[in-house]
Formats: sequence, structure tokens, C-alpha cells
Amino acid sequence: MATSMERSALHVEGKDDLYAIVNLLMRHGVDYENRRSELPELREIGSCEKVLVGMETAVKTSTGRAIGFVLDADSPIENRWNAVRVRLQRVDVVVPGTPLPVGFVAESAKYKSTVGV
Amino acid sequence: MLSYVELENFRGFERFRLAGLSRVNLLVGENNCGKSSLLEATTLLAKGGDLRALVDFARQRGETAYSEVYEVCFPDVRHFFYGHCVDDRSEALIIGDNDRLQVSIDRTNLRDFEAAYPGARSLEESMYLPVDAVLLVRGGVNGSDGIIVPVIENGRIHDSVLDLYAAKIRSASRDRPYVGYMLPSAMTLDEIGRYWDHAVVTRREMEVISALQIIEPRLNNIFFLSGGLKAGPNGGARGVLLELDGESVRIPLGSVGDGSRRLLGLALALIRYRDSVLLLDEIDAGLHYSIMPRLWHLIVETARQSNMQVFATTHSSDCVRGLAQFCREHPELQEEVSLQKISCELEESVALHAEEIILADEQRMEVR
Repeated sequence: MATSMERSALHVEGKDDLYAIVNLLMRHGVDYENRRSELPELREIGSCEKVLVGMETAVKTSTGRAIGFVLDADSPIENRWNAVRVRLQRVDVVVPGTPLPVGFVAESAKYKSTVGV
Repeated sequence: MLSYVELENFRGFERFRLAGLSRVNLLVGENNCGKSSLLEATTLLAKGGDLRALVDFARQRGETAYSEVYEVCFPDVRHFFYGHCVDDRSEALIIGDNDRLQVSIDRTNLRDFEAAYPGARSLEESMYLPVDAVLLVRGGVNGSDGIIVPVIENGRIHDSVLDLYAAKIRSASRDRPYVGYMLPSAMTLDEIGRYWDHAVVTRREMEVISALQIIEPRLNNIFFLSGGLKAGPNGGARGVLLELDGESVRIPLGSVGDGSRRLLGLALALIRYRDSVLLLDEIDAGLHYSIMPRLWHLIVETARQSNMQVFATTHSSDCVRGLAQFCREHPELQEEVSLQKISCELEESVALHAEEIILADEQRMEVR
């Protein structure tokens, strides 16, 4: 549960991902345009590599709130997942060996942040 | 230089560790997360547990309690202990690389007090002190056996006790490094005058002028009025005048904005001492965001040259962004800084070093 007054955030690779998330929200009845400031902040990071590079710092600085990462599940998915797993394990998040079709949500025990991929 | 500070039962912290410290450290976090308490603990540690610092902090925070016996307010040290209350025996610990301070209040054993002050009964009588507990400070200037001072009326310290205390620790505190603690309010004119005298004597006044040029590039010189002129309707007896390019008259410091006064105080404090610790609460108060990278450069470079360790706090994203910008522009100084995120939910600060400070800025992470 979020305890910080700061907003939760979702890191996405590029503009396409940003629009995809906004459309998903709207499709599910979330009035994104008018409620944008109340919702988690969507951050366009620029590329998959940049999302991966910033992952640990983002978890470390998200105590008391949620931090999510949206990454393309392309080019051997095992490699991509392993890159995520290695980084999240360094910030005390227990990550399964293979990605789950429904997505992944867990807590960082050390930094007390909720992490989603 | 401190690489860590550990607290136990101090202020709002049941247990906390400030870790991964560098030469210049910026503390960030939500309101009431304990940033100022950490500055206080660091000050106490650097001052070797000098009780007078504890009392100064109590006064600055308005933590005084009215004594009906004396009809005045005395500093109330109960607020330094976790939960603001003192049981029969309460203890706070502050631990750093080379010092371990133990501050405790004990209501159960006044014999310690009597042993520490032979003839305690007469002391009590002469000061009219209804002693109901003792405050024991161990470590640092107080020595490993510690120093005991009487506490009256449930946590208050009588001012006259501090005189006795000062006499006891005078020689021990002489060798401690200077510790400066700067509040958001700018220095008084008297303080600025004293520090300026030192800058002139040590031939470092040009460094102060250079620092002030960050805000006012037209600045040529600074002049201090000694107070020899009689105060009249056109101004006070003492003052600071600035000589600016393109101005036919010298401008009083007060006429150029609070930022200049704040920066002047900061520059003077930075060059005042070597081998010291400087604590800057709300470092960016009164300063425009655009000067932040240059301000950080001034602080880091001066701290390095003077072998000084700096601890600052802020709530401002501009101040954090300024630090990131400074790290980008000065890769050679990157290892000198850390950003310490303080959270009530964690027992340890989250320390970011230059690479992560830059990354957090680039990815617009909220680190405050």
C-alpha cells in the first residue's frame, strides 16, 4: 500500500508504449485526461536499455509507493527477463525465473517499494 | 570525515543509519522525516557530545518548558529521546566512525550525581535545584566515564548547570573541529562582520567576492562600515555596501535582496574554517534555481580545499537538479557528493552517488 505522498510512477520505453498505456486506461474507464494528476506518473524513458539502467535507482527512490516498468517482451524473452531479474534482485526484489503472462508485482523488502513489471 | 552516522532512540528515530556519506551530502525527504534531527545528531557527534550544542538545539526549536519554581523557561531535553518521554532510565545513542555518544537520563540513581559532584547537597541548596534525575553524557569530550549534570522538573536543564559543565569540558573541547550550523535565516550583520574580518586577515576576501558574483556578476567590491558613524535617519551605524559596475553609488547589501545576504553568509562560513563540519539547513532558501549548479561547485570545491565535510538539507527539486547538473559538468568532483534520501519507513538512508543522481534527474525520478 502506498504510504508516500509522492506519486507512483510507470516507466515506459517510448511514445508508442505511453499511448498504449493511456488507451488501456481509457478502455478500462479511467478518465486519464481529467484525472492525470491523481494517477501514477507515466514517464517516457527513451529506450529499453535506459529503462533497464534506471531500474535499481527507481526502486531505491520509491519507498512507500509503487514503481512499474513496461518493457517489450521481444528478442529472446528469456534474455530480457534475465536482465530485469538481475537488476531487481540487487534491490532486494524476489523475481521468478521465468516471466508470468499476467505480469509481475512484488515488494522490495529493503526499500519498501512496490515493484511491477 | 564521517562515513556513517547511526542513531538509536534519538528524536523521531527508534533506530536509523545515515550511510555512504561523502564530503558533501544533500539530505532530502518529506516533512517530518527527520532531516533536521540528523543534522543535529551529526553536529553533536562532530562536537564530541558537547552538551551546550544539545541545549542550543532545544532553544532553537522552542523546546523549553516553563518552570513554576523559577518563573522562567528552561531547555527541556526530554524531546531528544524517542517518543518525547523519559522513563526512569532512557538512553539515546549517536555513533560515528570515531565517536560513540551515549546520552541518558536516569531518575533511579541520584547517587551518581552525588558522586560526580562531591557536596552535591550544597550544590543543590546553593542553586535551589530540586534535582529529580541526572543527565549522563558519555563519549567524545565527556570521556568514556561521562559527565553527569542535574536535571530538574522532569527534563529541564538549569542554565547555571551549563557553566559548571563548560568548565569541566573546556580542555577536551578545545581540540575538536569547528562545527558550523547555518539555519535558513541569513546571518546577522554582526556575524557577517566577524566572518568578514577573518576573511580579510586570511587574505581570502576575493573568494567571497567571487562567490557573490554568482548572483551579482556586476559586483566589484564589498565594503564594511565599521560603525564609527553615528546612526541617523539615513541609515544605521554598521552596514555592508556593494560596489557594482554601472552604479554611481555603493548599494547597501539589504537593497539587493535576501539571496545576496544568504550567499554572502554561506561564502563566509565556507572559508572560515579548515578541517571542519558545516551543516546547512534548507541550503537553497532565498536562492534562485538558476544559480544552483554554481553554488554546488562553490561548496564542493571549497569543502575539498578546506578539508571540510558538508551536510545540507532541501525540499526543492531545483536544488536536486542543480546538484545533478553540477555532477554532469564536473566529473572530476563526482565522488565528493552524495544524495541521502530519508524516509520514516526505512532504518537506513538511501544513498545516491553522482551516477545515480544524474540518472534520477534524466529519468525525472522523484528523489525528494
